[in-house]
Amino acid sequence: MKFSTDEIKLASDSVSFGAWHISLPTGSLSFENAKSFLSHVLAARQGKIFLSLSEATGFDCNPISDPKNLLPKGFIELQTSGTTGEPKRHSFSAESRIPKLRTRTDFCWGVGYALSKFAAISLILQVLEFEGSLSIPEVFDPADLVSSFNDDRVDAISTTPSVLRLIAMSNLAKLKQIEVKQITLGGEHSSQAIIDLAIDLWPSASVTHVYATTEDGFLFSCSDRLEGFPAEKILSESRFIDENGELFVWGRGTGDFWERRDDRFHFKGRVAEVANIGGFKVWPIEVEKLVAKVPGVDDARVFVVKNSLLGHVLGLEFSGTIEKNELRLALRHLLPKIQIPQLIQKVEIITMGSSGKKARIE
Amino acid sequence: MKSLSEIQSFMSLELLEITYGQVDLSGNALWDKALISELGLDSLDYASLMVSVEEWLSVKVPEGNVDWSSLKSARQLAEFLHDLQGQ
Repeated sequence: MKFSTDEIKLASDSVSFGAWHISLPTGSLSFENAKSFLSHVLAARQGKIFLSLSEATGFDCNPISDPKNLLPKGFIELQTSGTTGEPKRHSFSAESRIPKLRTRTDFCWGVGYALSKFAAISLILQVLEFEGSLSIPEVFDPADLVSSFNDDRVDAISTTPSVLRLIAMSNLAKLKQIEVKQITLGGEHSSQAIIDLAIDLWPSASVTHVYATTEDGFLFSCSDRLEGFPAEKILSESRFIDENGELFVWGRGTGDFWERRDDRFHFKGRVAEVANIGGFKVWPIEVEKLVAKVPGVDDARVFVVKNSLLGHVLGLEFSGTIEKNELRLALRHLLPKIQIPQLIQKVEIITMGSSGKKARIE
Repeated sequence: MKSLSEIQSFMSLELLEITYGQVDLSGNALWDKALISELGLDSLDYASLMVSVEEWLSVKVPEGNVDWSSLKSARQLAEFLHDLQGQ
């Protein structure tokens, strides 16, 4: 489903002032409902309404009773699930979430995020600001994403690394046919393998990976086709990394940890996602990066599992041609024992949360 | 619900893999030996064995109220996990 900014602007004129709640379906979304959702996002951007978003089985759009006019116009509230499974509400000024990146006004952007997620709202606000157009799938699943992006002839796609991998597995040939000029990866760590996949799909496209937080919005990006971020992109007047590796923004800890290697910082993981295995801390993403390098592994997900004996253990899902016992043997030579996942499962497709990211806690 | 013998067969295979072929439970002799102190497993191996069977049986060992001293051998662990089914 393709929407131009002009079309959304026209629809937003009919949105009544006040506070609104929209529940977005986890299943199919009709054209009219998608347009209604986009027009309310724009109305929030224009300062006309307060908009609260959540996920449900079906679409619903209703005014919120706000007799004392306490809900701030121009703000959007999201219920985020994140990767730790702990739902939390977060509201922000729509204006503050427009990235400082300018985008081509004639681009049609494929939205590769679930619509109730921060990254989707951020992309929609950016596109509406610069008067591009949006391609939104009826259903947020790999096959429908590829069809939608292909039918709408998108110029650019913004999605998570996990979704990119899934849509590539779904229909590689069709995806390659789309003349993508810009691919933006966000919402989770972009490994070199995923950046290389994007380059392989669209050799002449600009490949950008971004870092953003729910609290602060877009913070920095990198388009040099290499994993990690140059130090000068991360460190600034408002940002520093402390001696433990945690990134601070305006003096507030983000809970995200980084490791410096030469002149680049590499994402290590979220503090909420660290496994404490019998008193030893293990970062799932670090293990995952190494597992993904084992020949025969196509993709992997390392996650934390609560365990009554050790506190936590590590779980590993992998897809590829290697067998489980062979992988365990390979990991024995590659990793310290504490980092070898205790639970290893071979799967066809790596499990992805509703946010389009790999879940880190089970 | 899996039978005790099915669980024991699964555990035998898992333990062979986890210990890289060092501990073979296919005979009866080792089932009553303490996994950690007598068969050479460490707590990570033990946890691997436990979570693999938990996952296979779709059960979860409850936190907090487990007497680990009564779950030293493979037989004790198999019986304990077997009894968790249906609880």
